[in-house]
Amino acid sequence: MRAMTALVEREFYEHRGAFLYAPIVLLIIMTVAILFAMLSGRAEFDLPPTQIPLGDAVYRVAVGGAFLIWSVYLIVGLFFYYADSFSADRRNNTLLFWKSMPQSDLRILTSKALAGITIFLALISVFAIVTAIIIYGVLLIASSLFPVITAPDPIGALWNLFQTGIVGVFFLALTVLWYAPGLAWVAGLSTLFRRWSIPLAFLIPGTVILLEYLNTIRSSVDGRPVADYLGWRFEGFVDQTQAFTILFGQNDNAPFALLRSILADIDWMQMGIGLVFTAVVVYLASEYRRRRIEA
Amino acid sequence: MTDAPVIASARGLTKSFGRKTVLHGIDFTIPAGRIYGLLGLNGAGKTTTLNTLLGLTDCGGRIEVLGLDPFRHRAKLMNDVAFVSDVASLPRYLKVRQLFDLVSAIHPRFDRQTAETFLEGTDLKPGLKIKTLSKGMLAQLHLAVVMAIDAKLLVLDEPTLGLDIVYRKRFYRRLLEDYMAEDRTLLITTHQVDEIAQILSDIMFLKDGEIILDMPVDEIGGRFAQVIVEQDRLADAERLGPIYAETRFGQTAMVFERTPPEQLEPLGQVSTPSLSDLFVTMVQREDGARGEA
Repeated sequence: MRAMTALVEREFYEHRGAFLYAPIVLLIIMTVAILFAMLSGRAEFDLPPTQIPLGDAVYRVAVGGAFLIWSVYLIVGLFFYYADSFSADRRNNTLLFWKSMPQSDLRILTSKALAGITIFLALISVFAIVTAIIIYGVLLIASSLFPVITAPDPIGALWNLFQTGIVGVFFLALTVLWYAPGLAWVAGLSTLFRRWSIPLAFLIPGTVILLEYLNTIRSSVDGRPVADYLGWRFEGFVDQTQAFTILFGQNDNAPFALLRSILADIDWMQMGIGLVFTAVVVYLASEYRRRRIEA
Repeated sequence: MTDAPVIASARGLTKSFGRKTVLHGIDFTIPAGRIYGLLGLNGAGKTTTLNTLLGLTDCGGRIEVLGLDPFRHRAKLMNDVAFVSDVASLPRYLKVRQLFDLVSAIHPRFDRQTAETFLEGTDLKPGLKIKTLSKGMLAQLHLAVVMAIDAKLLVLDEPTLGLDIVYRKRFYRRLLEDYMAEDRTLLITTHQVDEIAQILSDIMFLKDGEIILDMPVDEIGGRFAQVIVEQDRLADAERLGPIYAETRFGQTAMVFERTPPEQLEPLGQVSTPSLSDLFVTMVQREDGARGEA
């Protein structure tokens, strides 16, 4: 366990730029931009007072939105991370150093696979929560500048942040698990083709879909199972409109209602198939790495 | 050969890359407590031999290191084997302190305090980033890491490549003084043959994927002799069948194998060939004969 924790930690050291420094910069830019817009008087609220929802609901949705946006960042960040990390040890011959340690290739690649659902997920969760806290500050300033806007009181905000935050972390974890096969796909390609994994990750399924499309035209067969499946998979596992409707509701336990809804709607069979695919890719990549020594 | 336990043994070791065969069924046995020099020209198969020993690549034939098949059990084997294949292979994104933290967590035989002791008095500070270190400092750091591992076998593949003479001498001095003990075995490859001649207990010469000599260093003098042959005795010397002859600055040096000293002494100045001379002799001898272990 100690060794695995250390191996995950080394992923953080190697890739902290994408999951620590870049989010900090983004957060600073976003905060400065919002504050500048508000304090320079350029922010406008066209809604009539009767349509401004209550502060608690606004804040819940804002926190949920923060997690949604950061989930996109997390998945994009992990895509580039896995497009590199499975072959990163080949840079500067570092592979030889790691192979001199009593850790199997499978264990090392497993640590890389786990980094996405542990350390990087935790970091992005923290950024989502910090974003939510900044949003509360913005709401307080906005409510002082525009009386039509109400901010929740600090206790209410904390309660909403706590509830929505827990659900948000679950959402981030489920997002990573749902997209895990896609991430494994680019990781597996990276093991073989290094940086070419990024274009190949799109080119290979794109070619298959194109051939499928051409076959559909030629044989007048309905349905394109690969394209349909990948499209469905790419859409995600949450109906976002429904999710925001639940969060906007006046129910005090709206975040947990959302979590129950998400858990009930997930296609767990597909989730399981995706994770099995991921495990197979990690194993095959480790066998390839076991046989490879040149940088 | 000694009665010491066997650390590594190979029988009929073969390795091919595509159609090119790099190792042609070599045999060797490495007992514990020895310092082996594995020497050969570029492309002779040294690194491939080491890689098969370390489980970094699969091979034909049979090979065992500490009783294990290295390729099948590399991770387990690395508990008792340390190696440096390239001193520049340390992860550059870490600081020295982080490297020690990490190795402490993933290597059960690593003693952090020992590693830190090795670095005392050097310019290597815990907060330094590895990517900012010079090649000499990298070598010091890598050596500190491997010497702090309580391993039974240490394998060094060109460990001082690219280092200046001061670092090279310091590297080998520390290796001998601080690391070598009776129960430890060292296997080393280098092109700077004479620099390690004093520390080796055994040599193994490789040529074109075959072992052409495998013997203890202290037996070289009893088997090989180098004679600076006087000009008027050249014909007599040739009749004794030297395995190698070379003319340097007007003098002819010949190397003889298993020739009685009393036959050689009248020919000129007799000495034991240096390791580099013996190496050149063995890789260039034209009779195709091989030295025996």
